[in-house]
Amino acid sequence: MDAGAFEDFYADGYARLVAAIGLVTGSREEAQDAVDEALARAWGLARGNRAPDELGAWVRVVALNVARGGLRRRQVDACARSRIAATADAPSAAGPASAAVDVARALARLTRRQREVVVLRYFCDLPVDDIAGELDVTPGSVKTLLHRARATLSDVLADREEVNRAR
Amino acid sequence: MHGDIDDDELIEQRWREGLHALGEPGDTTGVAVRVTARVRDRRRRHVLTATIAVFIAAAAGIAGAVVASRSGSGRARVQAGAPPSASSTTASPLDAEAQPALAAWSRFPVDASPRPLILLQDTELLGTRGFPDNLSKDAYDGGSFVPPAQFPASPPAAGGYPVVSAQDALVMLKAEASPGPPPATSLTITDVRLDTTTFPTDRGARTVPAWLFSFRGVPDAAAVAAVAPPARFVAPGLAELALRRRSTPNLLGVGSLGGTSVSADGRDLTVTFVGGPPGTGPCSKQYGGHATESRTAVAIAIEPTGTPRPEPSVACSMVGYRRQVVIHLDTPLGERVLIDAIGGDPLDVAP
Repeated sequence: MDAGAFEDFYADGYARLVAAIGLVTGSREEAQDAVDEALARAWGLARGNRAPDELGAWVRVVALNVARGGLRRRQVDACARSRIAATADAPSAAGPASAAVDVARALARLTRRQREVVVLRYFCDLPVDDIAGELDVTPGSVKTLLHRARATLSDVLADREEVNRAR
Repeated sequence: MHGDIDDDELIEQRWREGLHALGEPGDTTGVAVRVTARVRDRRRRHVLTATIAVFIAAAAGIAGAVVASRSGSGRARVQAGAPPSASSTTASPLDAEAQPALAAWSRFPVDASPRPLILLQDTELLGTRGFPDNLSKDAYDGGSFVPPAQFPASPPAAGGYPVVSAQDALVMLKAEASPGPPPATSLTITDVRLDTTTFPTDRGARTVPAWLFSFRGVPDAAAVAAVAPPARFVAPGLAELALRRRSTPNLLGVGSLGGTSVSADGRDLTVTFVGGPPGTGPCSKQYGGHATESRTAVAIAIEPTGTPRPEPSVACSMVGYRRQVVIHLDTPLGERVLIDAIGGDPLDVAP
């Protein structure tokens, strides 16, 4: 078993993956739990000499699955949306550069799947084909989901301009 | 008004900026997050080290409050020179505990000449060159083999021992498979031949006939002891007995026993094992040995004696010490088998 792969992951990929999952779930704690759980599973496999080939990618996929929460998916997602919406409305997040606010509002309107795709594409910088592989969907679906996500952010931006004009 | 493509690019850019701003919030927070991650990271490694250390401690049978030292070192150091403590075969609840293990060995032909071999291990991968990749190692550990089209014929005897067939030897090799999901691939057996290999027995190492299996792509061959009954004795039901050890966590596991020597008159067993430190400090451990005897076997157990450690007022180092106890037997050990009182595993005895 290659313990070095785990050390490298903790050094380089851990914080970033927690941030990515946090964007999907709206909760850093939940994201951390999901990533920890995924790592624990990977460690278990590694001890049985069945270590995943690409630790980073494997942990990302498993952490996303864990965060999705199986049976409680619907509740979990509703919860995630309200948390993300709260991020958008929090005064600390609102600043002169409101990209974070706009994006948080858009995230809160997205479905779980759309958020996953958006985060993997624009935060993790994964190519469309890789995202399709990790989420086990076709590249076409990934493109469709990304298209809808762009439309949602477009709407959010348009709403804000309307509000600004009305003031 | 922007065209569609420009619009898309602009929106994509917004997504990137926004997500990065949310995911990696600005200067000070970002640093704090990174530092926290680094601290967690260190703690995690420490936890891993500690887990390994605890495993070693468990193997050494060190019970009680054990806390990994700050250095994170979990290696078991073996310190010699502790005076052996003596104990004898007085009546104990352990006598009842030992009955299932003794029963497993009740049919051992203690009067037979020559004495049947009791192999402590009967398969071995010869050499240390390992496997070309994880898949083939997995296949070996999982006992997944493609048998040869034809097995060599086995002679009735070799080296003075009756011999098992190569087919049966392959079944023995498969039986060594570790539990788990079936391996993804199988190792192809390229050669099978009869040779000799040295295996440990309960009375020292013996060179015996062995079937050697070669596998495609694997540099070293696997040896399977080819000695057939009645030249070899295998106690039935030891796998089930091994499960009993969980119910007696305070007894030292068989894995921490480092060998037993027997006195010239056969009545004193000096058992060497890895345990807690000797002496009288709060971290010290005292041990007593106990033997339960039958006509065919002697079952021994090592248990901590004295008062348990005050918890949680001390944190002890996780060093394993070489300890000894002497157990007096009512009758000389003779040709009887020395076994672990709970799991029934045969133990190595040196004269």
